Formats: sequence, structure tokens, C-alpha cells
Amino acid sequence: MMDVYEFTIIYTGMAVLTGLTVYLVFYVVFQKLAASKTPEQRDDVSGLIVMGGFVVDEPLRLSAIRILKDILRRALGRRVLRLESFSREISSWYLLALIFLAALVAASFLLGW
Amino acid sequence: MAGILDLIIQALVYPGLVFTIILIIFTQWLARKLSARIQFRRGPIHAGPAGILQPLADLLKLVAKRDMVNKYSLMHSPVIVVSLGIGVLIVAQLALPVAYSPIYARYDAIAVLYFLLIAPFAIAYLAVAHPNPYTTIGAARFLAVLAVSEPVFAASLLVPLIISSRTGGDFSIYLTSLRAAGAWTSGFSESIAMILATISGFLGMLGALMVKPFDTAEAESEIYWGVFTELGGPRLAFGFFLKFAERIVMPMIFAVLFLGGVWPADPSNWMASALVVYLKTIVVFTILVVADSILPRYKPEQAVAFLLKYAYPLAVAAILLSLV
Repeated sequence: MMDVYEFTIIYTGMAVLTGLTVYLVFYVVFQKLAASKTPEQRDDVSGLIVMGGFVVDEPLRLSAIRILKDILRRALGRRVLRLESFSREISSWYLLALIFLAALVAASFLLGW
Repeated sequence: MAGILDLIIQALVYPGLVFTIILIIFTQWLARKLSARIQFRRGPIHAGPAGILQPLADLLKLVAKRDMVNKYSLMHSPVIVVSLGIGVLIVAQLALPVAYSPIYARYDAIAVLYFLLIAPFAIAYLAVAHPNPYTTIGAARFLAVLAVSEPVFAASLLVPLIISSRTGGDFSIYLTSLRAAGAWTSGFSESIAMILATISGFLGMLGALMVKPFDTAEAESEIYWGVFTELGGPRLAFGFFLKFAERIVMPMIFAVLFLGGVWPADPSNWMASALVVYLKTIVVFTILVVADSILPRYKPEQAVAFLLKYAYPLAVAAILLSLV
């Protein structure tokens, strides 16, 4: 029986080979042989951005992370709010500790400790 | 250990790429026919006998179209990432008893679970790489449900792996599949653990595969097509290829770990073992299709809350019982 590292390497190699075959056969070859022969249907209107029936200059951009947080907040109610403030607290303390540690390392180098 | 030529043949021909495409054609035909019957329609009838070649016709139609994207989209990386996701899913079958020379190692289940995570993230990447308000909403919903469904699916898979490790399963998916039937009968607490893990694993699988009631990421009537809204031509074909391959591989893993593995076939006969696993996979797939056709859809926050409230306690209880 092989070890898990060997397994991971073989799995990665075979996955890359299979993925590359899919990409080359179903994308590159089909685009070169079949799709390139179809005429491109573009006119002045197809370049316009239309939202809600109106032509706009820039499309509306939403933040996936903001929507994700909103879904989790509505799913978990108050718990996630408590968790959020708690994790914010932790992360600011972590940042302070990281700065303190970096300062200690810098000081140790400067003072030759 | 399989030779390099054997590995390449397995990855590209059987049970790999070519056979997976055949399996996708069959399962998608089955899904369309079944959902059509449930909705009093006929389903595909024109391409091939009984319309069985319709999924292939759809694939060829899409990949033969000119690749067009809006000016805010990424060009090459989404197609490459999705191709890699397809590769990861297809190669997972080499670690299952459907392969004639399977690859396996101690603790390979952990590696396979990590590899399989690439597939859903490839779908999310495909969505956000083609900006559109509906794709962004779809991707956010997909990630929200995925964040709670993948851990519960993975935790549930640990139960048969833990139980079978006492009889030489070695936390390997292939070795466990040969002993999976024994996990149900090795003791009272183990049987209860397997029942609970099967339920929680099935719920997790529904969420990870975007099957109703957890298909909020697609939600056709609300956000057009969610994650697939902005896609067309070869990009849509690749997205569907990944999604349909996932709907074969995950039910197959569920079947080999929870539904008795290769039992009642003789484990030394790979052809009979493979046949049994494919039959069990099609049964699980059929249940998914029926669920997808008859169930209503949850709101995103309801889907997340449901999985947290019901699936997680079951999975945790199952793991604790399996450790007793």
C-alpha cells in the first residue's frame, strides 16, 4: 500500500492531466474547429449595459461577502452578532500582540540579544 | 500499485473521463425523464432512442458556440479552474471500488475530502468571475449553504471510516468500502451511529449538490439562474459538466460508505463490485432527482438554519457513538 503523500501526488497529477484534457478537447479544440467558423453577431446594441430596462454606464456591483454575512446573520440571529463582536475583539488583540512580538524581535536584533 | 499507463487509462478512459461522460449522459437523461414524468411531461424524445442522447446533443451544442463574455469578466482562468475541478471529481473514482486497479493509502479519505472541495469552489469562482448582480447573489447563497453543508457531509463520512478502521479500514475510502457492510452490524452503538450519520450525510450532500430544498444558489424564479446567470456557450457547458459530475461522484462516495460498499458482491471480483456500486449510485441519484422535483425551496437563511439545527447534532452524535 502506498503512503498518503504518494497518493496525494498521484491524485494531483491525474487530476491535472484529466483537467487539462477536458480543457484542450472541449474548449481549445472546439473553439478552433467549430466555434471559429460561426459568424460573430455583434452590433451597436449588444455592447450596451442594460439594467432593469435602462441603459447604464456601469453595472451594479454587489459584494458577495456582504450578502454571505447577511444570510448567516439572518440564519443565526443574535448569536452571530455576539460572535462577530467577540471575533473582532480577538482579532484586534491578536493584531496588537503581533505588533508587540514584531517589536520584540526587532529590538532583540538591534540590541544584539 | 498501479503502473503509470494503468493510471492514465483509468483517469482518461475507465472509470475516468470517457466513462464519466457516458455516465453523465445516462444520469441526466434519467433525471430529465423522471422529473418530466413527475410533472406530467414527456421529457427528451428526439435525440437517440427515447431521447437518451439529448444531454450529449446539449453538450456539443454549447461547446461548439463561440465563447463570449461581458467586458467585466475574466477570460481564461474560470475555464481552467473549472477544468481542474472536473479533473479532481473524475479522478476521485480511481480511489473507489469502480476502478479496476484502485489507488489507496492509509488516511486517503482526508486527502480525497480536501480534493473534492475544489469542485464547489470552482463553481463559485466561475460565478464571481462573470460579474452580474444575480451571479453575485447566487455565489453568496451558494457559499453560505456550502459553509454549513460540506462540514456536516465530511463529519458524517468519518463515522463509517472510524468504525471500519477497527477491522482494517485504515481511513481509506477504498478499504472502507470493502468493509462498509460490516459497519452496520458490528454493534448496537455502531448501528445507531451509522443510521444518524446516513441521515446527516444525506442532508449535507443535498446542500453541497444544490438539490432542493437547498438550491437557493440557482433559484430560477428569484434570481434567474443564480450562479449560472451570466454563462453561455462553452462556459455554461463546463459549469454543467462540473455540476453533473459532482452529482455522480458524491452519491457514489455516499453509496460506498453508507450503503454497504461493494456488498453483496465479492470484493475480489472488481467487475461485480463496480456493477454493485454503480447500481447503488443510480439509486441514490434517483432519490436526489425525486427530491429535486417534488420539494419546495428554502430561503437561504432557512437552509443554513435547518442544516445547523438538525444535521449538525445528528453528525456530532454519530461521531461520538462511533467512538464508544
